[in-house]
Amino acid sequence: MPGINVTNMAIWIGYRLRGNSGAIASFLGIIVLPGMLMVLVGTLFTSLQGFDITHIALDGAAAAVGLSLSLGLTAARRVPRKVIPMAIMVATFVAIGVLHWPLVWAVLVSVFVSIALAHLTTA
Amino acid sequence: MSELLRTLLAVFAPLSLLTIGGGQSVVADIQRQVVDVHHWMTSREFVDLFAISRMTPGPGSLLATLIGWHVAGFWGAIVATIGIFAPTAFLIFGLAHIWRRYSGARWQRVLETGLRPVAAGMILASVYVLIRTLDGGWLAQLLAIASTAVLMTTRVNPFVVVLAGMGIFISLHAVGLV
Repeated sequence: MPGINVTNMAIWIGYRLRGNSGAIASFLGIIVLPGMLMVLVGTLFTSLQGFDITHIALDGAAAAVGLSLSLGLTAARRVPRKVIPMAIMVATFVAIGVLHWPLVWAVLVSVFVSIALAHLTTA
Repeated sequence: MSELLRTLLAVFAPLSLLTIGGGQSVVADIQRQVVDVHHWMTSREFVDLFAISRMTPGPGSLLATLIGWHVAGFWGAIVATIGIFAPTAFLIFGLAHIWRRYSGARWQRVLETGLRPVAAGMILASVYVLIRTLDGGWLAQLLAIASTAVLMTTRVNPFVVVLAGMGIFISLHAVGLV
């Protein structure tokens, strides 16, 4: 599958190994447990909100944006260096990031255009 | 189901189908809806929640769980989690069977070629929105760029990078720079 996300990958692997119960086990393992841990950490930060240091620490957690940026750059590097794919990438970026168009509609349009053009150009 | 829970579901369920390439691609739109459309929190609170969601292991889409919890407590967390994960999980189950059966077919290459630039544009848009709302000013932006460089050139665990970022800011605060 192209660029399938981690959760779906885990659920799929669980399903392949152990059928429905495997899929459910994977789901619990990758979503429910980390989710509970995250809410716990979130509660901790909320309860410490009165302290300056909490805000400073969260500002530093801006390093987390680096995770997204490295993912974005990796994805961008895999886009062929051709006019059409590059133009579609930029147009998608501008529509969502700069113009703040609703994602669902912006993506529906760009996916449609992109796949249609890929259909015409792929051998 | 209360009005608030229904709205949470309506926000996250459609986005779920767009997370096929990864949870990061929908962060920009979560921010738009949660901050600008529904006014559930400020953009500062949103970035805080984003940071917290990246501090713990697990998929990036769990940000939805944290937002649900912040907005409507326990049931909010449950509803948002189901909203962001369930639709895409079912879609993938259907697709995976078809995909394996026609492995290597031309239409698969067309889909991959077509989806790739859109996915990249979506993720970069999310990053752009996040960087603009960073509250730590240019130092935080610099830190985000530095951590990107570290992540792309080494195999260090992302979790360590986030903790190091917090450590750096606390140190800077201790010496009076922030």
